[in-house]
Amino acid sequence: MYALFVRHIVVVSPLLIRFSGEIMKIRLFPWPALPGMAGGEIPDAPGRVPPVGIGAARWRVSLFFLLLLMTIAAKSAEHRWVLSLPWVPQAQFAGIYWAKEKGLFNRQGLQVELRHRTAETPIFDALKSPESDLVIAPLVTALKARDAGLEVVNLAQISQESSLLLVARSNSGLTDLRNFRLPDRRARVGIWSVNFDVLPRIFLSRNKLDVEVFPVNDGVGLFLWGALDAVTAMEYNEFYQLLAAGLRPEELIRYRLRDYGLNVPEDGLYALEETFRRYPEDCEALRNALISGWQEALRQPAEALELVREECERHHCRYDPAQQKWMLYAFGQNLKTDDQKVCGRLSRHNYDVAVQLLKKYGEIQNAAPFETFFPLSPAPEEGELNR
Amino acid sequence: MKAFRDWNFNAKQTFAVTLLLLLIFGSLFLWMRRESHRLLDDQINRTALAQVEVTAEKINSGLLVVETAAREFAATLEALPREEPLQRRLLEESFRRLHARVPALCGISIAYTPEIFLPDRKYYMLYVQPGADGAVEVTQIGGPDHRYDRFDWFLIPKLLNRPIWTEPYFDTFAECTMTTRAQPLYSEGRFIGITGFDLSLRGIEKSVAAADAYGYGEEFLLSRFGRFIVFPDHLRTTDTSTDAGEWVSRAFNTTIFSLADFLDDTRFGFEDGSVRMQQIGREMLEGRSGFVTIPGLGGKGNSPERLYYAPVSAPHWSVGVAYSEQELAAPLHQLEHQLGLLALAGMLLMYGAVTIANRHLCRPLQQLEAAARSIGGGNFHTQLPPVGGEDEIGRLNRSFSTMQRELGEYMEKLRETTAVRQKIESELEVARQIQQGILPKMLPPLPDTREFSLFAALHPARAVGGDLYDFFPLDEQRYCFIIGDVSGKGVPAALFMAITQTLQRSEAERFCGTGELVGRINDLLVRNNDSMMFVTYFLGVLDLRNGTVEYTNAGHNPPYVLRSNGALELLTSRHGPALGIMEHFRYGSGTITLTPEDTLVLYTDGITEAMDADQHMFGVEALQRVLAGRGLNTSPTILGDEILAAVDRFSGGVEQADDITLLILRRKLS
Repeated sequence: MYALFVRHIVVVSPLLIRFSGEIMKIRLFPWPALPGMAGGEIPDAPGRVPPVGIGAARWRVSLFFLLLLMTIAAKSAEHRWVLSLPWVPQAQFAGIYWAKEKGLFNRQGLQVELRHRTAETPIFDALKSPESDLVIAPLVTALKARDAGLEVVNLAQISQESSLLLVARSNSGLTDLRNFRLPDRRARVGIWSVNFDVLPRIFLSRNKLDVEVFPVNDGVGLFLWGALDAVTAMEYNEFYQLLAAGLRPEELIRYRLRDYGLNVPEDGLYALEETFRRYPEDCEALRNALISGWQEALRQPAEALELVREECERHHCRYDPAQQKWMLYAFGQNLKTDDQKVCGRLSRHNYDVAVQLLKKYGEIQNAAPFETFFPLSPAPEEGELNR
Repeated sequence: MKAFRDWNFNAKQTFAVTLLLLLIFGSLFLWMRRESHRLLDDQINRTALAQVEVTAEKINSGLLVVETAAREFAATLEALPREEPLQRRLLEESFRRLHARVPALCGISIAYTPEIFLPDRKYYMLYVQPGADGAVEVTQIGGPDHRYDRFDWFLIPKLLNRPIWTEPYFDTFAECTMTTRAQPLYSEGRFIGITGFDLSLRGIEKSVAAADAYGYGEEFLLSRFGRFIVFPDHLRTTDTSTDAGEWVSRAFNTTIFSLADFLDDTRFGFEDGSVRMQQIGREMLEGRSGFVTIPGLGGKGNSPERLYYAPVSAPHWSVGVAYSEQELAAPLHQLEHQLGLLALAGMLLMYGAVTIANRHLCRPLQQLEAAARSIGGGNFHTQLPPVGGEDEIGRLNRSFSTMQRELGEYMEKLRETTAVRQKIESELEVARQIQQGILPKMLPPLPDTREFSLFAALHPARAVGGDLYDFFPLDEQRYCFIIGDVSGKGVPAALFMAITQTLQRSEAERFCGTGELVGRINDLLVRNNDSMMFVTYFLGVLDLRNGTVEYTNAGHNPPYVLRSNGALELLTSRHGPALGIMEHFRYGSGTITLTPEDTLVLYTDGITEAMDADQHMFGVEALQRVLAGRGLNTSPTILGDEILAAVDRFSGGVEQADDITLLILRRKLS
């Protein structure tokens, strides 16, 4: 035990000190909200050294001990959780960063590690290998994975509405679903090849759109060049990329899939049923911390964006403040349930609709009962977690 | 503070000149400021824009070289047998050749549509890039873990059927950010793959740096869709770490429009506010060139910046350089500053010069003024200031000098004349006193005897007169009285009068009748009368005992006799011409008797010919009226005073030309 403690200090202390410095930066120099942002406050301005106040040293020391104690407490937990995120660091995961960086996981006695993935491989592959305990994934993908034999459960349904769009140019002639054709040929529609292809395909099929489906990793570039006539996009992400390429909103026509009976929500927190059975309390605590993180992130978007920026920096990703702000706003819109709560509840209705849809279009054969698929009761209301 | 008009000449002029200078220099300064502002600004704009345009053109020509190379490479490749060793060699050679010309070239790829190259080999992609020690490395990189056929650079030219310059991206294999000239390959008209010529953004960055004409600009390069191929300095990351290239490649690349959103943020005000920067971004991407003032790229505070931009036509890119307006204006401000200082110094210098010149110019004036004051004080020999020259002050000085001299001379003459006059006047005064002395004195009224009373008065018109009167006793019973008027006036008349007066007294001692006496006096006067003067003369001798008066009138005004009964008689008889004219003339005589209270009034023509202001004469009638209006018992003194007063009243103070003489004799009641 003693040896473990010493080793811990030797290994972890420098990290903690560095980390406490990061926190200092946040506390002393909160990155202001975008609209009134002064040029000098650009977060990734090169050579910017955060000035440190007089009390900083004392802060660091006390923080160090606080974190040290927390770390030691966390050490006692038996399991180290790995959460895989389905895309590069961005504001889509702001609440999760909040839960991690603000110590909400730690406060629940959990040690959580975040991993980012890309879309090339199916996200649930992460649960198959011992790489991850938890993943963030769309409901459709989860239902398909479960149908394929991977017994996953939904611990929290983060987004409550589908953000999926089919986007075309207003001047293309693709403004009417009943006549979704170009004058001379079939429209070429870019659809993601992995994870997010199911609902768009159902959308095309349901509306009997006679189009050329073109699988893409990322259709934005192709669409901009005119190589695609329409493309699937997330409202919080790709849609903004189109705007950021100089297109005006009025130059684009948006088909929101949720407006066409395809409101199957996306991001949810998933674990193997087996993991949940083994650590039910931890899973609930984890869910609570994560939802609490989202609640806080939405309440303090500027600080949440700062966490996103730091996460981007850690992964050497370019951080575009406007894009991330858009994303946090647009994604945040989707988190509230009908009663305006952010509680991570999966609505039975949404579940049933999704299951029926997928069954109807032959995407799945079977589905677990709702209670099995969503075993936890909803998270406490905002603020209750901290009491 | 004194009123302006009370300022001295020097101060006034200095003030006026300074004011004028201020006006001139001020407007000159403003004008120069505006002009230089315009010129310099124009120059700044022209230079900056030219630099951007030249840079854009250079980049463009570089890209055209790559385009041509890619086209030729594709043609060669399409003609070659599809064998890997051949393609490897071609890749190596082409890369070496082009890399020498285009240093930004970081790799060339050949990528075939899966299963096209060889049916057994699903993915086929050869990539050449610089290896260690200047060598060139060709690698086969296609595979299930490198699905190149899903990348934009592969798909877009394939779908568009034309070569493109890709948007900037991070290549996970080459581990650098790049843009690719992606040239589609065809075989018998069928798309078979892509050859890509990769240019590293770091290499392009170097070319873009040349766009900054002044060294403090932030240059950047925009892609066809507004992405930053080269970031402005403050957004450029120094992070060259590639350990997470996967994330970098997937991360959203900032565009001019997202930067605009970031800077302006109206999009998040939940209205589609069209932001200026976005308009500019669109203009840049439409292939225009120009310059515009923008709120700023966010790099240098929030101060406005001026953005110069020019298109790179081949790939539809745009080069931009943003300078802080403040820094652009710096040389302008410096110039302004210098101009201002110069103007100020010029003004001060002019002020000093004017003050000194004024003082210098005014000194003779001041000296003249002092001299004039001294001259005015009577000091005519005051030294005038030594001023020469033909200017106004010189002329004024000369005039002053002339005036001083003439004034001096005049004063000298005046003094002399005054002296002479004073002398004459004093002599005349003496003569007058002498003449007055000659006349018998009234006081005490000498002839105021029991029988007669007498009044006599002589008012000479000048200092000395030519009238005379006299009365003196011949013996105890007889009394002689005379009145006369010498022709002419002044000193000669006075002298003649004096002679007459002297003669009559001396000749009267041998009296034997008035005619005879007058004749004798006449003879004496004629004898030495070269100047042909004469004297009208009335001589009477009163016998006190009976009041008879024997008289001789030699050309004199006829006297009046006022009878006691009020009658007025005129003694009109004349006994000869005036004295001094005719020698040996025998004058006769007449006699009248004065009864008691009769009055005899003798006068000279000074009374009757007394003038008023309108040159009217008093006249005989006026005299007669005075005499007729008298009281019967009027004494000679009162009558005399009345007559003189009447004459005075008539003349109204006008100076008389002739002497006025009156002699009144009255017989008293015995």
